[in-house]
Amino acid sequence: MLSQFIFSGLALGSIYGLVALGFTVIYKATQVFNFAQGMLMVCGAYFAVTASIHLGLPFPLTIAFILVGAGILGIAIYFLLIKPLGGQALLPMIMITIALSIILRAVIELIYGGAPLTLRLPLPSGVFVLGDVRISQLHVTAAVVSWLCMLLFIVFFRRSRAGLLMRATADGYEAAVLSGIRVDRINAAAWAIGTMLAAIGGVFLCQLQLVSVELENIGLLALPAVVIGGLQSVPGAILGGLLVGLIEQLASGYISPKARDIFIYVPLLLILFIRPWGLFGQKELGRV
Amino acid sequence: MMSPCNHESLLSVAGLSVSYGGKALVLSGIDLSVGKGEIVAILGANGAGKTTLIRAISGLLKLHGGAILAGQIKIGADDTTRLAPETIVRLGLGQVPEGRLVFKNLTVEENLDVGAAVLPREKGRRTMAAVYHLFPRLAERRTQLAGLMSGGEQQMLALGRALASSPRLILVDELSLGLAPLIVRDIYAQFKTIRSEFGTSMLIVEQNARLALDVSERAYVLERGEVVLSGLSADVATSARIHESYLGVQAEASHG
Amino acid sequence: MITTGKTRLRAVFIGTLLGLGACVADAMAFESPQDGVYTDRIDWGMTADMSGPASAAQAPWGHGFQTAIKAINEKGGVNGRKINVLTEDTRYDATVERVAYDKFVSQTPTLGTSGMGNSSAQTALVPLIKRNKLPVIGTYTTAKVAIDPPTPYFYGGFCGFKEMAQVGIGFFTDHLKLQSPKVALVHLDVASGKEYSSYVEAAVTARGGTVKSIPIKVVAADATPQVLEILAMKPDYVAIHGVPTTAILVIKAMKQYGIDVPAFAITYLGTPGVYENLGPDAGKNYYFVSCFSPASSDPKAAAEMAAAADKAGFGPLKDDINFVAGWVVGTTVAQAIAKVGAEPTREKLADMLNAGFTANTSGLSSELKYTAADHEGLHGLKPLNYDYSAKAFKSYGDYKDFDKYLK
Repeated sequence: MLSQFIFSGLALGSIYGLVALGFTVIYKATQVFNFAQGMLMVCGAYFAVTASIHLGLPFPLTIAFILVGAGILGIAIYFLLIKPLGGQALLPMIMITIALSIILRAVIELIYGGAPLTLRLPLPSGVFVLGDVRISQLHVTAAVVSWLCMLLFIVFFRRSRAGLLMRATADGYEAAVLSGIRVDRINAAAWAIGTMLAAIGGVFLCQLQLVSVELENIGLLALPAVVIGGLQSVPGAILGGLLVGLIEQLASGYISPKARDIFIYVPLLLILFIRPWGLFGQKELGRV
Repeated sequence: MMSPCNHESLLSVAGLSVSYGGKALVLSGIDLSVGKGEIVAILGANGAGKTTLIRAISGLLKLHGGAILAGQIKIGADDTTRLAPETIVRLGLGQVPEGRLVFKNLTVEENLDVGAAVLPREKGRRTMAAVYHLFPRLAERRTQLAGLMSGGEQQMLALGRALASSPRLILVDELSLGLAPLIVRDIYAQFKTIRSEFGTSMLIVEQNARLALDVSERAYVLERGEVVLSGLSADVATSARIHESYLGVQAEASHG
Repeated sequence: MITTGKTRLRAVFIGTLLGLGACVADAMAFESPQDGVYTDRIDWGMTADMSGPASAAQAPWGHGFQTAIKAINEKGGVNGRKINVLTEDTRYDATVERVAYDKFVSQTPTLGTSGMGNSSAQTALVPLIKRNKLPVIGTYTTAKVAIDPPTPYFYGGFCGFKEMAQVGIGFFTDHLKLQSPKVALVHLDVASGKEYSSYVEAAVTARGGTVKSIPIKVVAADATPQVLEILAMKPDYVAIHGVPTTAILVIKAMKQYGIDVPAFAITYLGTPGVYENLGPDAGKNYYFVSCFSPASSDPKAAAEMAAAADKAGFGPLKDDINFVAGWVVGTTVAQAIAKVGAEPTREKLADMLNAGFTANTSGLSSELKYTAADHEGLHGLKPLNYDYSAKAFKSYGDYKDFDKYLK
C-alpha cells in the first residue's frame, strides 16, 4: 500500500515538478509570479487536441506542434504583455497574469467549447506488475519524460552559453544589459521554455483524465510546490513538485481527500513563517 | 579653453541636453570627446550631472526615466544616441558601472564568460586569458562565486568583465567608491597597462579628482550640467578654479 | 382576476392611443404580461450552466430543452402561441442563479422556468420559490427540500438519487447472484455525495450486504488512493458518484490495478464522452442507471428527437442522456401549458400540475407523473452500458422491469 502511494505520488509529483520548473524559469528571468502557469499547462493539452484531432498529425509531429506552439505562445505573452507592462510592482504583474489566465480560458472555451474532450495519444497504457505493486505505464512514462525534460533543462541552464546568459540576467538586469546581453531575447526564451515545460505537463495530465480547462486547478498545485521549494530555486521547484505529489497521495490515502489541502498548505504557511525563501532557495532573494 | 584632442575621435558627444521627466535640464549642451588611445577624466561635485552623462552615453537613461532632448553621441562612426545599452556594448563600449554590479550568483569565470559572450568564441577565450594575465587574482578565484569576494576583487572582476568583450572604449564609473585607498591605487596602476595591452581608450568618472587627474591625459569639469573647464589634466590640476572649488574640498574631505 | 383586468385596461388604453384598430383587437385578446403570456407568444425561463465547470453536462441539457421547444414552435406552438425561451447562463454560480430567477419573476416575467441545475442554489431558493409563485418545472437536479414537502411551484425533472441507488444495487446484486453483496462506493465529498452514500447504504443493508464509502475530491488528479481501498476491500461491484472525470479516473485506475468487477455510476455519468475516454477495454465493465434513454438504445422512441437534433445541429448530442433529459423536460413543459388551456397563468399552471399530470415522453424516459403528494416526477430507472462494437447504448431491460427495486 505504502509503496503504491509513494510510486503514484512520485509520478504525479514529477508532472507538478515539471510545471513548477516552468514557473521558476519565468520567475527567475522576469520576476513575474505567474498565476497563468496552470492555464499554460491547459494550453498544452489543447495544442495536443489541435494537432492530433483537428490536423490529424502523426504522433511525432504532434509533439513538435505542441512544443513549437507553446514556445510561440510564451514568446507572444512576453512581447505583448510582460515587456510593455514590465517593471511594475509584484502586485500589478500578478493581476496581469490572472487576467491572462482568464483570457486564455475564455479563448479556449470559444474555440473548443466548454465540454471536456477525449484525446488518446499513443502512449503506453498498460500495467507493470512487480510483486504486489502495480505500476501504470502511463505514470512511468510521465515520470520518465518529466525527469528527462528537467535534466535537459538543467544541463542547458548550467552548461550552455544561453543558459549562462539566462542566469546572468536573473542575477541582475542592469548588469546584464551593461554586459551586452540582449535581455529581451533571454526573457522571451525563458517564457518560451516555461510555457513548453507547462505544456508537456498538460499533455500528460490530459492523458490521465480529460482535456478540459478545469485541469488548471491541478496545474496550480505548481504554486505551493514552488513556494515550498523556493521561488528562485531550480532544484527547489522540482523537489517541491515531488513533495506535493507525495503529500497528496499519502494524505488522500491514509486520511481523507480533504486532508490533502491541509497537508499541502499548512507546510506552505510554515515555510513562509520560518524560511520564506523556501526549502532550497537562497536567503538573498531578488535583485541586489 | 584648450584645443580639444588632436587624436582620431573615438567617442564624441556634441550639444547633449538631457532632462528627467521633461523637467529642468540636467545636462545642457555638453561637448566632449575621447580620442583613440586616450584616457579622459570627468570631474565634478555630486549633482553636477556626471551620472546622467554616463547613463546617456551607455544608453541607460530611459531605464531611469530620462531622455535626450538634443545633441548627438557617436562611438567611432556609429551614431549611438538613444540606442539600447546592449547594442551600445556590442558597438565596442565596455562598462564598469558604479557599484560594480557583478553577477553575484555566478562564478568569476562565468562573469567573464558573460562579458566575452558578445565575441566569437575563439576571440572570447583569448581576451579572457588576457584578463587573467592582467589580474592574476581573478585566475586564482576562477571558480568562486562573485558575491563572496571582497569589494576590491569584485571591482577587478567588473573591470575584467568589461575588458573581456574586447571594447574600443571603456567607461569607468566611480571606481573608488567604497574601496580602501590602497586597493584603488593598485587598480588605477593597471590602467596604462590596460591601454597598451588591450588598445582600449578610457573615460573615467571619479570623485577622487587627484587620482583621476594623475592617470588621465585630459579632463572635463562639470558643474550644474555644463562643462565649465576642460583641457590637459596637468593644466586642469593646476587651475586655480578647480583647486579651490573641487580639489580643495576633496583634500579637506580626505584629510578630515 | 383583478390583476388581469387592470392589465387589460392598460393594454386597451395603449392600443387606443396608437389609434390602430388592429392593435385594439389584439389587445382585447388574452394577455397576461406579468405572467409572461402575450397574444402571440409565451415567455419561458431556462437556467443552465451553459459555460463553466458544470457545462459539460448542463450545456447538452440546455440544448436538448431548446431543441424540443424549437420543434414544438415549428409545429405551430401551443394553442396558437410560440414559446419563447429566455436562457440565462448560470456558470455554476449560485448568485447568478438567484439573479436569473428574480429576473423571471418580475423584470422579464415568464410563465415558468426550467433547469436550475445547481442543487445548492436550489436549496437556498426554496423559500423564494414558495413565495414568488413562479412555477419551476423540470429541474436538472432535485434538492430534497424542494419536493419534501411538495410545493405547488416546484416540479423535478431528473432521476432521483434514491432510485438510482435502489435500482443499481438491486440489479447488480441479482445480476451477479449475490447473497450479501460487498459494495465499494466512491463518491464526491459534497452534499449530494453524502446523500447518495446514505441511499446506497440503505439499499445494500436491505440486501444484507456491506458497503464501504470512499470519498474523492471534485478536483482530483488521480484516484490511486481510492482504488487501493477498493483493492483492499475486494468488493463484488463498485458504485460511483461524481463528475465525468471521477468515473474516468476510478475506472482507469481499477483497470491499472487489475480490479475486474463491474461498476455502475449515477445517471449523470452515462455520457458518450466518458465511454469514449475509457475505451472498450476499460469501458466494457462500466454501467450506469438512468431514467432517460439515449437515442441509440431505443432508436424508435427517439426518432422525432433525433431528427430535431440533427436539424438543430445537435446531432452528436442525441446519445447524451443530458440532451435527452432536456428534450423530455421541454416537451413536458409544452404539454403542461397546452393542458392549462387558451389562457394560461402561473396560478392555473401550478394548480393543474399539483392536481395531477402525466407527460407523454414517447418512451424516452420512465413514466413522468406528478401528483399532489409527489413532485419528483421520474422514478423508474434501468441499467445501461455502451456496446463498443455496435456503437450504441444497450439497455438491460425496460424501465418497469426494475420497479420492483423501488421502495
